[in-house]
Amino acid sequence: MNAQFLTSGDRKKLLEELKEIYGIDNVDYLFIQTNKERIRAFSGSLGRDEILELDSMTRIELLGTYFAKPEYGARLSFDMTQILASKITKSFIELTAEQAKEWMRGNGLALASEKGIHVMHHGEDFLGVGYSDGEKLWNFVPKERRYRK
Amino acid sequence: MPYEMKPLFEERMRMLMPDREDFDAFNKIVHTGPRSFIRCNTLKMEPEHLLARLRKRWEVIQPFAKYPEIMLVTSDLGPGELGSCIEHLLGYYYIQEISSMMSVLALEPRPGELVLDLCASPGSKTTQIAAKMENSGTLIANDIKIDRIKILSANLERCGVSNAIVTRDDAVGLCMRLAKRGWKFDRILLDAPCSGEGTLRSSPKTFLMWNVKVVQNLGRQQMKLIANAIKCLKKDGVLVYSTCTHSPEENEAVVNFALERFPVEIEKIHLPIKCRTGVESWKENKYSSEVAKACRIYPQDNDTEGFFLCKMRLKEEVE
Repeated sequence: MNAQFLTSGDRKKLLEELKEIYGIDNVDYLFIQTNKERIRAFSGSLGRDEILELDSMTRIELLGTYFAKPEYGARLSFDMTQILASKITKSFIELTAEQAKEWMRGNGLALASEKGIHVMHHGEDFLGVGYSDGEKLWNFVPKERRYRK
Repeated sequence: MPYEMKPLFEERMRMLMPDREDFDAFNKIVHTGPRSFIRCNTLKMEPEHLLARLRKRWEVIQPFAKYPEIMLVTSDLGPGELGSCIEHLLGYYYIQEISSMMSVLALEPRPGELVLDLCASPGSKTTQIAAKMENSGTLIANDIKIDRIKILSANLERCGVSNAIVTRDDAVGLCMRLAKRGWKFDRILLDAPCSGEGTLRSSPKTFLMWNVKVVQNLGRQQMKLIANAIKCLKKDGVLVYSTCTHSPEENEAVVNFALERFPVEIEKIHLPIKCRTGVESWKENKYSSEVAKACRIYPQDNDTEGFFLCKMRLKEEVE
């Protein structure tokens, strides 16, 4: 497995970032960090020792789901904004239907907003996060999830 | 020009469907495209909510009250239309042929269980299992080829599956190692690689590629797979064996092999679509009468693809 379990210190730091940026109070996942610097979250019942035992028997390609990247604090993955939607309490930007369409094409938006990470949504649809430099929102929608041109 | 059945394939299908009208209905429907079934991904959205959204765009029905997550889009759709709409991009539903959903309905995975999906790619059944488990317990999803694992992984991400561990291994070897280390599962899905005779509607090239030697070779491989999978079951654990093919060599013969060698019993499956019983003999081979409890899904019975499935329970643990 090309990944390491997050140390208790790193886990604590991640949870603090989630609280500070998104207002997320608690998440009950086992976190690992991959070589690509991605943090993945596992909600399964196997513990660390059992996962390591499994890893000694076979090749583990993937564990749990892509959770966040440790940049701009913690940049939540596209799908995690949907899974954690009910727990996110701040940093939202509500998009119009036209803006949401543009966003889902993978384009940035010329929207002035506070510098930092924001959770983009159109109504009940959570569309990942964007990074604002104050004047523009940078898009992180994964290529395979965008509207096809 | 439409593809035609190879003579030997036709002869075998006529043996399975001796009634002429029945065979004609089969022959007719396999030359038509499949219907557009989808499955609501309950990890991200409630079925009624998705239905209300989709009905603003298409005509959609829920064919089975007991399984509201299963939906059929009856509107005429353009190429790729189902896969490119926002609800699909956001992972609210999965495009899945209805007969392939039956394996997981038979498996009945529950939250908190330890489940093994041995030949998991591309992930339609894996994501369905994870939804039934409500992202709890642990689901080990295995496949052997890296390109297939990439598709599996993308589907797991899109559906928000977080209780799965994806492994890349030969299924027989993996089962041997798991069993040796005492890993035992509550439920195992063995959706075995097969000759694909049931997929003629979505994959007409199967008409050309079909070969009886492939059928025979696959039957032998499937026996190895089931023998090793059973060794990874807990006592009272459930194994669902399924294929998307009709050939008895890959279906009842494999089930019969398991019945002869392991303490397993076959359980009757109650599915929301019409199933025919498993065949008790094929050519010179006579199988246990128990194989009649297996389900054969023929395209002409439900306007679906073809499928086979059998649910087994382990009566005592195998060393």
